[in-house]
Amino acid sequence: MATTLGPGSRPGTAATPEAGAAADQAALLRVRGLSVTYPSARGPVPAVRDVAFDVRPGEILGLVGESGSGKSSVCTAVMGLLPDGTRLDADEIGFEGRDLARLRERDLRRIRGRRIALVPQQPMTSLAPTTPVGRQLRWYLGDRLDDPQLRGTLQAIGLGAVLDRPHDLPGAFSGGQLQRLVIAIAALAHEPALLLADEPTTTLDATVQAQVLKLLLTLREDLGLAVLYVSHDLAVVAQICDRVGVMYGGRLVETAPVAEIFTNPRHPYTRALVAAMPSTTPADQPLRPIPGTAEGANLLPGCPFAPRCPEVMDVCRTAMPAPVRRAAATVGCHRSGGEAGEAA
Amino acid sequence: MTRPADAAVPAPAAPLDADAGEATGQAPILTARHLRRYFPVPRTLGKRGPAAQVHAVEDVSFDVAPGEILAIVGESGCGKSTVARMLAGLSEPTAGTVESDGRTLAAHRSAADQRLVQLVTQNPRAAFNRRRSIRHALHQPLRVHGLADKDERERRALETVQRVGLSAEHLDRMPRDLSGGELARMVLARALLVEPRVLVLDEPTASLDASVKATVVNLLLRLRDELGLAIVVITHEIDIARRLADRAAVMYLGRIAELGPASEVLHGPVHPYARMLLASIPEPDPARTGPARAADTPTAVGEVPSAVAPPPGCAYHPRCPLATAVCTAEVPELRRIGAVDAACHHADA
Repeated sequence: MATTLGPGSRPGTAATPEAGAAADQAALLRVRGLSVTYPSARGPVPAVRDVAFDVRPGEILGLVGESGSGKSSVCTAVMGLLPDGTRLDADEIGFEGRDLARLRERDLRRIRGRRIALVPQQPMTSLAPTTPVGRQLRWYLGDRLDDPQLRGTLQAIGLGAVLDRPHDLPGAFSGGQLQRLVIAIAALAHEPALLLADEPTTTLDATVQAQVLKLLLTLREDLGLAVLYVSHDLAVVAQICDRVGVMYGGRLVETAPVAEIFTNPRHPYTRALVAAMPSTTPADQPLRPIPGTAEGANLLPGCPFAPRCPEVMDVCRTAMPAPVRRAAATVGCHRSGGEAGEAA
Repeated sequence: MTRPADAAVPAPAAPLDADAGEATGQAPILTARHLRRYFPVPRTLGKRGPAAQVHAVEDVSFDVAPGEILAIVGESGCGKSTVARMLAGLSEPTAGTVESDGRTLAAHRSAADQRLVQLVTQNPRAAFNRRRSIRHALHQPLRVHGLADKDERERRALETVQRVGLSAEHLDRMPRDLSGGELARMVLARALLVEPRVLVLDEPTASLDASVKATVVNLLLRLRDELGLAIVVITHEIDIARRLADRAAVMYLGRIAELGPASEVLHGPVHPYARMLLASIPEPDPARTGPARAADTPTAVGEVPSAVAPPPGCAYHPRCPLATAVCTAEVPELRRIGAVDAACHHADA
């Protein structure tokens, strides 16, 4: 059964509705009622609206969505790094027994980098450009850098070049090498429980992307790391994640084990997104784009996908559907509500 | 509705022979012959001696015929965008020629030759003047080339906008009021206005969201069929190339590693680099879940070497599982292996 996917899913957790009130103690990260609103000249812009999900220990949860869907804002909110003036509302951002939404900055600093680490999209922006890489590694890893076992680990994840040329500046290394370096620092410096990865391979070439994805999987196996993996690329998410959350217009419209997303997508948006992928369409048929655009979806009072949805009903335009549990999936769609459920 | 009527678009043609024009039975409309392009490396302060050069493109030759789509795929720095710029006459080859109908196109193209090959660059939002309407942008090529008076310009602008699945009301808009997908179609419309016979597209779908990529792919296939265009599409997205291309070329460090029917090159290539590139593409295969993925995720060995000092012999040999002594000494020529041309000493071994 799909609910046993991933090392983190334990008996008793799988059946707990994520949106329900029941406490899910097994979750490493437990997000409930998360909303993020950015200020703008034309008034507040909601980017994330009432999002709820869990990340279990050792699990890789993917957050996919198109640009503007709010996936990166979720990541930034969990890290507590939203820009000044941004409004963060959350019933709970539970992590290791604490509520990050209610922690003071001082206490958050003890968690950031130590218990929750971030891998950014652009590795260059996280490294000091004028300090040799060897010295930067030593900032984070200290004397452990002389430990042959750790050096072996760094070699094994493709950082041999960095160890061989410790006096070179970051600019002398390729994007893939730097991204692996940043991931190694994030994962090995304090052995955090949770890694937030925001589009970590988007700027990388396919062959380098494959190397970085393999590194993340290896670290998960070796360290039991949980990962929140944010990406716009459904194919990448399919390869690395245990479960996938699909975001649209600031809402999490569906969360399901990765296989279910492709074989049994429940939300009409997920279905349309999978159907629009070139690789899921037979070669003798034209691709099926989703008509319309996602623009303005984050401002709609009802379901954000309603204007583009082929199965739209009147209620979809006025009321946001409540997330309901369907087998291992959680889906927010009026068609899936009630016992009639499971829209065809 | 702003959707193109894409229901009737046929899929890319069935397997073809590796030669241009085989699909359509037509002579090539555009030929790249032994193209090379070197860029000088800015000298570091205080260093003397001859300037180093980036060997961006190193002896690239191919044909494309009317009604045919050729995809050039490869990773960043392999020279594919430089090839696109040379085809469009925006970058002068260090050596080699671009030819059409048996005629060499001069480095500084005549207006007619400029119209013959139109380049559509990567970021559609950067391709429009933010302060002028879409109408202005679409009138401009006709005005510059002196092809039509005002009424005729408006008529052709309207006709072309409709051809790409947009409508008259889009002409009155400003670029900021169009979505990414609409802008992507609008840059195509602008390129089509001067009635080119060859379109060169540099990453036409890279900046688009998944749900609108499909619109552009369907549109390109329809334009190819309706207008008999030859299309060269430069892309790093293998799944997009598979949908579009009749033939495909894989480039590595400035050279073509493999060239042939897309059904071969993008599905079962023979060159070791092309094989490794395809193996790295994530496939949405739900069967491959769990820890087993880490083990069977194929990964490349090492890094792409510098194009300033490419390895001697076959540029791929330091990373290649098949490499032998000959690979370090001799640059492999493209040669026929099965249905494709591949530049490898050992691909058929």
